[in-house]
Amino acid sequence: MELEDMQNTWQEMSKKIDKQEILTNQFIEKMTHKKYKSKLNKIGNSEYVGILTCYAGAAYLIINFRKIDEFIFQLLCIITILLLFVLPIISLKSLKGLKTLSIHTAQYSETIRKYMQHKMKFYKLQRINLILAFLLLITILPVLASIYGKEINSITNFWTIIVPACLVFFAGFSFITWRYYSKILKNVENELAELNNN
Amino acid sequence: MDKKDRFTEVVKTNQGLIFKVATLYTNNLQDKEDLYQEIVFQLWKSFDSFNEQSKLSTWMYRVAMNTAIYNLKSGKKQVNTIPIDLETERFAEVLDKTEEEKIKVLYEKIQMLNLLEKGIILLYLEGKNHQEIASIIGITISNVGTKISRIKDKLKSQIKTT
Repeated sequence: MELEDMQNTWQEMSKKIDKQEILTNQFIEKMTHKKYKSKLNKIGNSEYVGILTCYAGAAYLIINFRKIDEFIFQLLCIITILLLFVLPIISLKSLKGLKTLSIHTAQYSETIRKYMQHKMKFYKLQRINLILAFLLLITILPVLASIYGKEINSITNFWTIIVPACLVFFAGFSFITWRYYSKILKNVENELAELNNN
Repeated sequence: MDKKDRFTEVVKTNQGLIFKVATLYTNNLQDKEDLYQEIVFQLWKSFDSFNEQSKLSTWMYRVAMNTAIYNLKSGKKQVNTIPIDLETERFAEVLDKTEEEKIKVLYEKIQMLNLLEKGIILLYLEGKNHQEIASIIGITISNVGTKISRIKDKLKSQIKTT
């Protein structure tokens, strides 16, 4: 299908769409009475659950901090708490909507540019989150073991199976995710470059 | 005629425009319904600021297409929306099999384009001239011509590869 064929099909389709009665006066009435809730720039429930989980984890570690005796585990606990505070902040920062442009006056290319910049920022922050999550995985295990009064070395197969399995799984997951994010970033960069050439 | 009546008139007259934008920037019925409502809502919000001097369709395309872009990021959020019937089945009743197939191919082709190209092609298919396209998109008139011929090449190469 070439552009000319597309145009013919589009015109035929448009004629039929125009005959359709999609909007009713009642529907528009509801819109104008603000019964409708705009969903732009809203943060979803899953993000709130993630944030609460991180903060609940941090609170748990703070409460149980005194149970940790050794300095090295105390230090790891502080790092873990910091990570649990920082991770949701980064997520929130990356999810923060595009509030800087006016939908009503901005030109389409401007909006795309903002959207692309936002998308780039989002994926760059996601990559940072990925590294920090990996760090969290490393720090949280000895901290929890210390809180529960367990000697890491005494946990069966801790060094031989549990740690290597976690590392392999996370490294594989991170590699795939990192590659996926990088591919998206590359595409976004290309689209931005194309926009900037106009 | 008060503001609400004028708005209702304007939106009802141009509901096809909103339908097409909502269809082009979404992949499923739920998202399409959400985007449709969001566009109507944003049009209402900006109705006061609409400058009668500028073309009505320019304002509507601008708001609708910008809303579609903003909506890309927040497509999965759960919010209360007013149920509307955008069932494609209802629309399909007035189409025969060949037309339906043609429209499907048409949308598939457009979905392969990037956001800028998608916006340009939408306006081109809507019969807008280069000047109007340039004004809504925010690029120069000469660039509109260049982009359209690039899109043509892109579509041709898609045919060769498929």
